[in-house]
Amino acid sequence: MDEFDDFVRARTPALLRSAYLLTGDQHLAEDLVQTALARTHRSWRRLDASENAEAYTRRTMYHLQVSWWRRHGRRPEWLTGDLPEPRARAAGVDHANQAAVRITLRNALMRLTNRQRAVLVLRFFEDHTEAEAADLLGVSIGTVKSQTARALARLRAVAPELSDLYVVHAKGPTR
Amino acid sequence: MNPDDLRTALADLADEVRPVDLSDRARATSRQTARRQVAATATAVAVVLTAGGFAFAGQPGFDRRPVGPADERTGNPLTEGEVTAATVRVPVWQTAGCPAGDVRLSDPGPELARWGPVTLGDVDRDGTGDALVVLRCQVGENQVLALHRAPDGTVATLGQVVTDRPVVGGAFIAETQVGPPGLVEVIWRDGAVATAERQRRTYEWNGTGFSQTSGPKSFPPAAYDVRISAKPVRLVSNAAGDRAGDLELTVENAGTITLGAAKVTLETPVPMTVRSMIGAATDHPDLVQWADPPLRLEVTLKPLLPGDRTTVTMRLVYPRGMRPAGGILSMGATGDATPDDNQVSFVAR
Repeated sequence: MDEFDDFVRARTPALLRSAYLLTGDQHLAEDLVQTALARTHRSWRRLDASENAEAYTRRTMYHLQVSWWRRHGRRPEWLTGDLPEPRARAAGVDHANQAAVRITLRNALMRLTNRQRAVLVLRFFEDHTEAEAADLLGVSIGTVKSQTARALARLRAVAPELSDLYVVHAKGPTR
Repeated sequence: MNPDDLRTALADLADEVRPVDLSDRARATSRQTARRQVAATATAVAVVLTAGGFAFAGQPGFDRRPVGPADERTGNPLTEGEVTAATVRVPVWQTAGCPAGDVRLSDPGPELARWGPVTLGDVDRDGTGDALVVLRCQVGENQVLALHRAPDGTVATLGQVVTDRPVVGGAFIAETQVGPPGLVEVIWRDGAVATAERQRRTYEWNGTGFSQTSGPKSFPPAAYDVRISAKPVRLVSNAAGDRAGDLELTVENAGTITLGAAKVTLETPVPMTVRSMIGAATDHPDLVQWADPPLRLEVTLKPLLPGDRTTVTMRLVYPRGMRPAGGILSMGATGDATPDDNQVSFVAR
């Protein structure tokens, strides 16, 4: 099964990136990918092409995440209280700006349901179409649309400062 | 919210994850899953056979005799010397990689060790002396093994009394005793709560195997519950133009576990320095991430008993020209019934 090792080494970094956005935690991301890869390993002989293996692993990963949501209900929300102020917009502090976005976005994502987070990651990180996302999650396209809308609305509600930060991030320093 | 900006921000956030090689772990998980399925099938088969009145008598290394008929109450009791010199059949472990099969107790090999004394006594109520030994697999699992004298006079395995699970924080076998004839007493300790009282659990041989007949079956769940809070940092300028102030964070241990060296992570998006720290296990925080914002520090707390709280005071200094920002303080939330209070933000003005 050397092909399996090759597949794992080649695709784990990308899988971990998605899993990190789904879980918000390095160790949980590793656990999620590890479990999905273990299932792929057990089905390896049936998966005759690496594309099939990756699709199978990703589908398993998303299903594991959402089924966890079904079993345990919503992931507990993290109360972030007052978030750091937007940084000074002087030259030389772009790193600080990016860091603020990361902190705020990570905490905001953790305040979504697992399914909302999965839809956002599929649509805006992995760039899947609504139909592809629906297929991966095993839900209807309508569900993907509604969950996406709710997820974005929730992001705006829990982290309104994100919009401002994105504008700054996209356009550069404005003053 | 611009979708392109969201894409950029998600990609940026995903950069935080550290790449790791999961090949071995995935294979191990796969094998464990397969083994559990095989074990479940084997258990079902065994139950069916037992219900039908069959027994596995004659299996090499095992002697599954019925409970003490009169004609078996003969023979010499086992001695410690005999036991430690014997080669016996070790039943399967729960953990992958722990060797089963024939094991020489005087030299169990690199993966196994015999620990504690050999306990002598009548384990199977046949009127002769048997023995108990505890074997430890180096990955952490222990099993209590009952030995007796086989009909051919050699030392043989009667059966596995019980094993513990190599789980961090899980209960584990501490020692064994033979009580009145036929009763094996195993003393268990709670791996999660070091101060918890030991438990005495009793097991009996029923002719085909051991089963627990008295004592608790588990320790009460150990509750991990921490609460963190922080006051706003009031900054004042010094002569050099830097702005400094004290961050006072408090952690309360509301659970039932003594926290040995719990860590608080501090994240802040702007450069700053910690000039002093009072009340923690060390006098300075550990720098986890410095070069690439957010700045991430870890503060190791002093041991915290259940119900106690501790306060750490850190002097934060923001360099001249840098607009101060607050940050987020967080502690591990896995297993915490109320994870909401494991994280708090603070402001610095």
